[in-house]
Amino acid sequence: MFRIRALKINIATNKGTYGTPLIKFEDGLTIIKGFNSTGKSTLFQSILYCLGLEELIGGKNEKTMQSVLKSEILDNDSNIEANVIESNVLLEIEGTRTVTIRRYINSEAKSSGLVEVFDGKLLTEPNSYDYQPMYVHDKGAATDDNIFGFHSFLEKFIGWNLPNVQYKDGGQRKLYLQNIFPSFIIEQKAGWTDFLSTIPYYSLLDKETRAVEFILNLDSWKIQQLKSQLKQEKNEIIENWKTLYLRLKALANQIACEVRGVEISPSIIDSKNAIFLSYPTEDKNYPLADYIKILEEEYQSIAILEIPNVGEQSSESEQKINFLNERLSTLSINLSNRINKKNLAISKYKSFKERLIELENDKMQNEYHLKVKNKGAEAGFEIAKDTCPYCSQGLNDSLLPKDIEIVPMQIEENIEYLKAQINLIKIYIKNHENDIAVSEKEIEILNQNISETRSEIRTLKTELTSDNRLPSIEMIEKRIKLRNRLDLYRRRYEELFSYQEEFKNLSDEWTRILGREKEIPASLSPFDYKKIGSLEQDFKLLLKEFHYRSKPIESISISRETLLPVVDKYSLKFDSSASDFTRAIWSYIIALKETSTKFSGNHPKLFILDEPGQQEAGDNDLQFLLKKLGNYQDTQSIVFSSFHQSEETFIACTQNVNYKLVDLGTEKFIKRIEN
Amino acid sequence: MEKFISFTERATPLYPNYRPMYKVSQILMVLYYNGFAGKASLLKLHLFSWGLKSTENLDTLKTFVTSNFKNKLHFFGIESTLNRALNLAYAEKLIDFKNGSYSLLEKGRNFAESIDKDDSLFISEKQVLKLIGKKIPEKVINNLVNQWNNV
Repeated sequence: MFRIRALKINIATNKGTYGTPLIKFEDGLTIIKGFNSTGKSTLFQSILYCLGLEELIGGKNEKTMQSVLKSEILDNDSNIEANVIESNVLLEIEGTRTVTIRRYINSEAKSSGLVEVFDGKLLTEPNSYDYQPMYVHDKGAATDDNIFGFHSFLEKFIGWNLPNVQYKDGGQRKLYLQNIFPSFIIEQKAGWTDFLSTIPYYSLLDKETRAVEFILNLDSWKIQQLKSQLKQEKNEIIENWKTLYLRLKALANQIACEVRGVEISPSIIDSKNAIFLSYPTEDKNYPLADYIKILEEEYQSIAILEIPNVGEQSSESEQKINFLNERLSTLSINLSNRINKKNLAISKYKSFKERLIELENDKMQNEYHLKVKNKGAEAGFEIAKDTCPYCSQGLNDSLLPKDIEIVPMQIEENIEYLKAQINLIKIYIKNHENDIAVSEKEIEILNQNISETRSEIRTLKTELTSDNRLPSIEMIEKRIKLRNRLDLYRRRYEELFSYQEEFKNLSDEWTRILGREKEIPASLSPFDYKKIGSLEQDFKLLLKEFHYRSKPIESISISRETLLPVVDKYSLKFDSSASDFTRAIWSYIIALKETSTKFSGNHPKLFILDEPGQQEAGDNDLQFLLKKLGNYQDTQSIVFSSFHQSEETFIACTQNVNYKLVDLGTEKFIKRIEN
Repeated sequence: MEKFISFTERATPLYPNYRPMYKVSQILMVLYYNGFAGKASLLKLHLFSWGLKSTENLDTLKTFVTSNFKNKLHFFGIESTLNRALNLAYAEKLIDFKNGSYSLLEKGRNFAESIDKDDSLFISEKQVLKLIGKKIPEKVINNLVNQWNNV
């Protein structure tokens, strides 16, 4: 709930104190009637100003306010009567409790960004209440962690809890109060030009829709929030999966194996055993378990052999040395080939990288050009419109001499062309990165083979030159090496189990999130549909009641996307006469309140309407509106109107209407106050 | 039977340096940041235009100035596209030409100011131009040109 309880304007001038008497507001309808330039708008604006909502009138701080509060007070003949020294507005409001707000418009001592909140009914029950200074339009004035932020205070005071919403810069921030209030406080100039038209621009996507969602307390923003939360969880899994994959890959590389069954990005894994390591040989790839078996067999076959003496081995050793030497030279040739290939790839990679930098620079310059061209067109330059300022002939967007016969690309096309080039180069770069990585791995394996072969040759040679009676070192070494190798593979094989476990857990989590994503409705929940259906029904009933005639009522609906009234997907605005459109706005704001009340939404049950009888909406219909508002017991409505400066109109419009009147009369309402 | 081969003329990509508004904007920036009282000679404009052609050139120009003209600047290019851009800017009443030097007119100054304020435009270019500022006297440029003549 939110109520305006009392208002008072104080102005100190060089001719004494000026101001308004205390104006009190009760529940139900209050009509503020006054001739033009008696100060109606000043009162209306003062309420918004006190609430820090002057952006709804179009601006920030004191500059939005009328000169009577800023510089000079005029008499009824528009002559300067007094000069303003200091002015402020006091507003008593009721929410979770009752407080009084004071905000200065013109003051040497107090900034207009300052709001003083008195903890009590300063206007209706004057007393010494303690007060706290708070700030509006300050960075952080609306955020929770700023205890001096007035709007953060006001939000809690009304009993709201504003959601975080997505802004165009991609950030998630709180919805502002200024975004909500235009659905029940309507200003006379811009307010009647469109639905919720006075919401200031905060680079918020679909700002009107966000306001309606909040008023009706739809699930849709919760759905949005859930979606972004799931997205975050997904990103976490993607990150963890990647780390795990890279660790497993490093482990596989250590033992010259390849990872099978998982890729770098998450997937659904049925069984842990689907993930394994594979050992590639020239003719066949062995799963690690099988390869370990082969090693075991080989080891056993050697282990049962008796270790021969060097003498027995010598001719065999010589043969072996020859064979190994041959192998060594083949390996060396391969190695040098691979190194060449790798270096070639690296040099290509580098030149592509340079080209990419050039292209990106080029693209940036082209974007600069597009910008200055648009800027120039805004400033009315002929050159920017591709016309020669001398001869009004086409310029072709080129500075090249006319006798070079080329047709240059248009700038947008040029940028697209560069983007395509950049993408292509990026693909080349990626391919070369892969090639380099593959070559590096091959080189590593070759190096390893070479060093193993060398060590074998060394051993054999040592043997040939040693005592014939000694046992063969080669055989012993072969045994030890094989034993070590077997141990290493067994250890890694055991480590694999924990990876399988972790991958399976991540995969299960991944499956769960994908499932939840499927469960979330696209944007609206079934309950939301029910609420919007009810809004549509209420809206159409009211249109009928207010005699809307521009379009058949049956053809009108509330868009499920924008939550605003439409006819065949187009805004109602385009199809309605000016007076009918004003009626449509009445209907919409009242329908919002009714639907919100029905489903206990967030509408504060407050209306402040400035000159709702715009565009000759018809006195008859204005009477319907006032009657409707007057009949709401649980709602406070404050309506400002001049009733065309005619007593007859006023009487006609208020026939059978329950209301309280604040009559500003026919002369200036802000007057000198005699002490 | 006769057969024909037909060619379709395709548009060619073009360096931004050869685009009218791009070059004109550069001229305005140079006059704005680097001209004494918003004025500069044709040669000075050519020097900067050459400098703005690539990052290497801009670096060379920067070191030339920051070394107090001790580092040699062997050569800078002259291109006819700049002259064409100057003609356009003159016709558009962005710049004026008097007593051998170009100067900013009201309309051109306003445009240069709006480029200056836009933080998303000519980011590195503006940085270097501001750094160089009005530190290159016409005399230095004339000396450079005289050196070429004497070679």
